[in-house]
Amino acid sequence: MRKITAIALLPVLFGTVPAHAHAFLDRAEPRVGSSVGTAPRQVSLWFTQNLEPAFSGAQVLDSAGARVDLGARVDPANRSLMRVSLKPLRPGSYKVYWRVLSVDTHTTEGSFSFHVGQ
Amino acid sequence: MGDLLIAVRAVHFASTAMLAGLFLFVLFVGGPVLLRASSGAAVAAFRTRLLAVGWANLAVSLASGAGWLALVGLEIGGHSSAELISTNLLPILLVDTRFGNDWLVRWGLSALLAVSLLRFHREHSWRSRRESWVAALLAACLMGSLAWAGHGSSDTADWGSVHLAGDALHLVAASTWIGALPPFALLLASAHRIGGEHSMAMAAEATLRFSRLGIVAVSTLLVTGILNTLFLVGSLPGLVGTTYGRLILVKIVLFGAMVSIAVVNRFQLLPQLSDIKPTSGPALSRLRRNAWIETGLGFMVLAVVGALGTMPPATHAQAWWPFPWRLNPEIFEQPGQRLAAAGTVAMIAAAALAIAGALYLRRWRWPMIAAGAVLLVWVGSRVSLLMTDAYPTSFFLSPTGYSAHSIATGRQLFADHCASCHGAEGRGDGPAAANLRPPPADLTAEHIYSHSDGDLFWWISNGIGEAMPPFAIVLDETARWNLIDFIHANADGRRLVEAMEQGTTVGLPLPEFSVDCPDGRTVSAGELRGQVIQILLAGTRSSSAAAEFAGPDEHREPAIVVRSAVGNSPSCSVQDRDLLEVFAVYRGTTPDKIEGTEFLVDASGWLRAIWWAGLTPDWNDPAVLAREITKIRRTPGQPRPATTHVHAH
Repeated sequence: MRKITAIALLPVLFGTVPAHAHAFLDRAEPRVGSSVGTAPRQVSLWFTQNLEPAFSGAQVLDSAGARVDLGARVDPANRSLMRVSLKPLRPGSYKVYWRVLSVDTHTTEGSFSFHVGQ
Repeated sequence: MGDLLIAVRAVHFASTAMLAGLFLFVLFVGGPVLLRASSGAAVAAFRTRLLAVGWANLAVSLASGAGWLALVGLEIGGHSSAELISTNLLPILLVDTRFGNDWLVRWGLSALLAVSLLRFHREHSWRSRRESWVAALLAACLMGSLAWAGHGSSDTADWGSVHLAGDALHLVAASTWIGALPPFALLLASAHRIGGEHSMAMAAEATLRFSRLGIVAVSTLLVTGILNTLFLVGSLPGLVGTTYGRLILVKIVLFGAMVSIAVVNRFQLLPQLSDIKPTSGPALSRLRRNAWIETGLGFMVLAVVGALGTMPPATHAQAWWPFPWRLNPEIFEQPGQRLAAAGTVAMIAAAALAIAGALYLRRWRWPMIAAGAVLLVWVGSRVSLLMTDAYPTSFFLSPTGYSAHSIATGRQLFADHCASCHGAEGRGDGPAAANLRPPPADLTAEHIYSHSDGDLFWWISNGIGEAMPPFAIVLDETARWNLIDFIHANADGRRLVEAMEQGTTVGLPLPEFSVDCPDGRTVSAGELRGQVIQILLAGTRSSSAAAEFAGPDEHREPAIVVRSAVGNSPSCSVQDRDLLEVFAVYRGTTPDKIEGTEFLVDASGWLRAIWWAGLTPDWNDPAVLAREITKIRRTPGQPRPATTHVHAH
């Protein structure tokens, strides 16, 4: 019985192995899923590879779906770091969407949330 | 579109390799050999054929290169092909990206190679040896510059340029061998057609020269190939457990077959060409046939390369371990078994030596095979000593990065799904534990550190026996990784408190965090390294000196205050619910009861000590605290056994 369960689960596990493309979000500030007391003035996204600035971007949306960012740009000194400037944020939940092109020509995208206020 | 990209890449690699290989062949093999050829007309016909091969491959290389660029453009823009032309995507792609720049440079190189082909003369190749060198160099650059379109270009680490240079050399070496094979086969065909003693000598010299060139190419391929595999696959599980790694294995097998054929050519067939013998005619035919077989194998390698570049390298994918056991990494750490394990390793080495010796020492062949077999049987009976159970997910790496959020999420999940059997603190003593066979594991015991994250992931996902149900059905993957992070943090907390009671030393990893400082800066935990720091969980009720950070609101959660443990530097603080939960896990309580708890973190960032009101000795006594800090500064932390908590990708 246990063996059958295990075999039945194989495709489940196999299928959910993340099909990574190439530039992954290494970490972010505010941290992925975190709650911060004070409103950040920007979101910083560190990636595992250098990005192509011409084809990399990010947006920050509030819970109503309105854009609260002032644009994203790749740091010229560190091409694996993208900064998104923010309008003044009120307490609430925010979602960051990013879509980037790594220098080895692979596009990746993803999103995460953070929360402002207690 | 993925399959189309693979095909276009494969065609581009093959045609560029053939183009580059042709120039390298003329420089190192064809040119010198043909100088001494007697039959002018036949040699001119051979050169005409070479020129046709060159033009054809240049055309295919340009067309497939343009196709590759278009496919990349389509993928980046997510546009239809009509839009790709109407929008300004293509110029931006060419001018503003590394890939586009590489393509511009490579188009320039292709143009120069076209000029070079125009100057190639059917009577005497190029006018001078120098021109032949320049042409070969340009061709090598065209091949090597493909490295900038591959994975090597994106390596941001310090060794990125080594990786890139290795890639470029690998490509040039591959074209030197695979790309020079068709011209070599054509040369042998011409020699066969002309016939006679003189052409046989020409074929022999060409084979000798090609074989020398091949040795250089194969050694370069070996060294740079191993280097690239280390960069992009990194480990045995990556090699056998990912699609990328398995394709590398296919490539290695094909490479091995090519080398074997080359060895036969060099040591078996070449000697038969040296003088006119009855066997030299058939030997020449076999050489020609082998050259085409090698070319075919080489194209298969290039097809694999076409696919490899489109998929994530093994270092970025989860490795699915195909064996039910793996090497036990702790075998050499257990004093009782160390000797036995070392003995087994020595026996394996001896058996391998005996069998390798049997291949070379004909006189001792049978005794050595017998000795090797006896050793192998003996090792076989003991090899289980070196091995430990493994599961398909044993080498999976946690994608959570051991974040405070993950540990906090895991804490709630543990309370909901696990505590009834494993107990609230994970000691295996939950209310439902009594009737379970096997009994639930104590998740705070030392053994928890000897299992990889991937092992824990497998057990949580699939259950254990009849007692533990498979949680893959109820919890998604992230939730299961969150649980593993909590289990580690919880076990760490129990070890920390135990070490305080017994006066022993531990060093535990903290999740990443950052705090706000009075000067307006946000400082990360990493930036605080280099000094012993004190962490205080300060609330209005806390007696510690940092109570002012809690603010006036009595119902507010404690603030996490961080300051240098020595000196009088200003304190930084943060309100961070997740981090508060983590500190509560260390203390073995809930966040509402954690106020007043203090921690010490050493200069390397290891969590070293915990204290709360009521514990002796009392940290409120400055002398006691100073003693504790001095102790931490003098003794390095004993980091807990490494888990596979490698940084998330």
